[in-house]
Amino acid sequence: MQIKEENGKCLEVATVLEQVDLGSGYYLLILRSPRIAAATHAGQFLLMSVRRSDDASSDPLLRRPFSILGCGPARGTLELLYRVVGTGTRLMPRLEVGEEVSLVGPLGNGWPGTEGDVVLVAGGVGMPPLLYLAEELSGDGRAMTLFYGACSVSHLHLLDRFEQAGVDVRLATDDGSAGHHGSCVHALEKWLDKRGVQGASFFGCGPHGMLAAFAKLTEQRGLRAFVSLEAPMACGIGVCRGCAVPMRDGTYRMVCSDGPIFTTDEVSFE
Amino acid sequence: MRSPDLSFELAGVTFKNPVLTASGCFGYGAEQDGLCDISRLGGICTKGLSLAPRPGNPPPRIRETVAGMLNSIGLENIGIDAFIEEKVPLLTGVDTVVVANLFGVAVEDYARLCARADDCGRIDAVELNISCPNVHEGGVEFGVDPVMAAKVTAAARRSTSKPVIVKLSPNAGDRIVSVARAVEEEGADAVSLINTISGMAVDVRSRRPWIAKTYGGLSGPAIRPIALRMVHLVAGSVKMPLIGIGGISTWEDAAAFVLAGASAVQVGTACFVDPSAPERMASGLAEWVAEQGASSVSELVGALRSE
Repeated sequence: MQIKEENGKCLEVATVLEQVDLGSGYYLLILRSPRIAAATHAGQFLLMSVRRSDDASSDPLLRRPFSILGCGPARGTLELLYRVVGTGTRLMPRLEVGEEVSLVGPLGNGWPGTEGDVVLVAGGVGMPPLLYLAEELSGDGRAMTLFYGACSVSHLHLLDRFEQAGVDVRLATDDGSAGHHGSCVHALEKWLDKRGVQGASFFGCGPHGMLAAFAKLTEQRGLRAFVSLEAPMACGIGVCRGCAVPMRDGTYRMVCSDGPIFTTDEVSFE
Repeated sequence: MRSPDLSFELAGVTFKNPVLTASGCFGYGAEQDGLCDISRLGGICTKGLSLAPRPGNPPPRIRETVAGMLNSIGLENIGIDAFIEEKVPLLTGVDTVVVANLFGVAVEDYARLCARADDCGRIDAVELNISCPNVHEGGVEFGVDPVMAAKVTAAARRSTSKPVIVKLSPNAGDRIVSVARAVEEEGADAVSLINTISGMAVDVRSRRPWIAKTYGGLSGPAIRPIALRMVHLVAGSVKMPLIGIGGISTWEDAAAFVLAGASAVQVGTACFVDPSAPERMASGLAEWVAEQGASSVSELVGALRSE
């Protein structure tokens, strides 16, 4: 007998449909994974085994968490955007079309439903859950604005997808190679200085420092804001208690099972 | 051909097969729904439970290492009362043995936890985590001292009629044998071994430890040979059954622990790597038992050939 706790997560062997080298160490990975695709919504993530299915070694041992970039439930597809940064992601570019990878998902809470306009703030490889949100909300009549920052223009990807979703795209780069010369949060701040926003919701994902600045800015302006957090993770389902993040009330919550989405006023960014 | 008997009995409690999940790697049992059918497991060991809830340690709490991981979670848990009120109902009707893993910071804590567990019908057995600091003895682990381990076991034995399993700490070194004998003397029904091994990892760029509390417990395939030797060492020195733990990821690993003297095994870190691993391990063991010409797994316990 199965026990009760409805959540839709499963273990699924996915097939690689396509892998696109986007440059600067970024890759778009498209997988066929019908069960997970049928249950996923924007802001959720999955765990992927980065070792080849016939690799019985124990290194790297743990699965890697990835935000879901997009989902095609009708075709049973999932899209991930990753950047090669460490021992796990270094193995991923060699995945070939037709190869099988083991996934656990969908995991986490996902973005909450909101009404009104949306402002998306993405830092580097934190962009995927924001593109998913933009595509999910596309066409329902609300204005969407993206502030997308990275170290340099070669690290900004899939801008056409945001534009197709009807998003007003505003770039920021640390080296000034595209858009605002500086951080995406600073670009957002300047934008807010010039105009009022009423009833809009703000969504951020990126490095810790960027999210801390985003939380501070939105709080100062009294804006409703959400962040997607990351942390080293083992189980993805709340059992190992490894991915704890501190909250302002002194408690810890788990990125995997309480998040990855939190409201900015509950997280301690100290 | 009849399928081999995989069952394992411990002080009146029957496990349908010798594959259990290890404490801390399987939550309170219901979280894996959709990933692992727990009714196909011999049993589950809960996350370690204390008298009061504990918030756990500051992050970072985990770090992957070569073929393993370090953790210093800080024994975060909801407390035994919340477990019994909120989590036990989710396990009603699930056909598997539920082992409550218990820990305290004083001998008396273990007595009170066992008494509480004894009153809960869905808890079939208790496992004592003695790899915790004894606050009355300068924070030394109970599990490295045979005298302290014996006191904890005696207190537990007085407080419950359910099977008492004592989970041994590898940080005792070869004194683990004396600890095992001492807890057997005080009425432990079984020992499970090994808990994690203390370890450390450093980020050389920031010059900080990767774990906020500096040291963590190492688990995963990296510790398997150490665990296997300790099981073999203890098996030769006690009469009670042993439950092997330490990097067990496949049925072959489980079979090696059986041959070294374990009557059952617990699967820990492998649950994170592949939540279906424990489920598949039981069927792999069944085939191995048959292939070895045995009719039950118990015939192969300690059946290592030495010549």
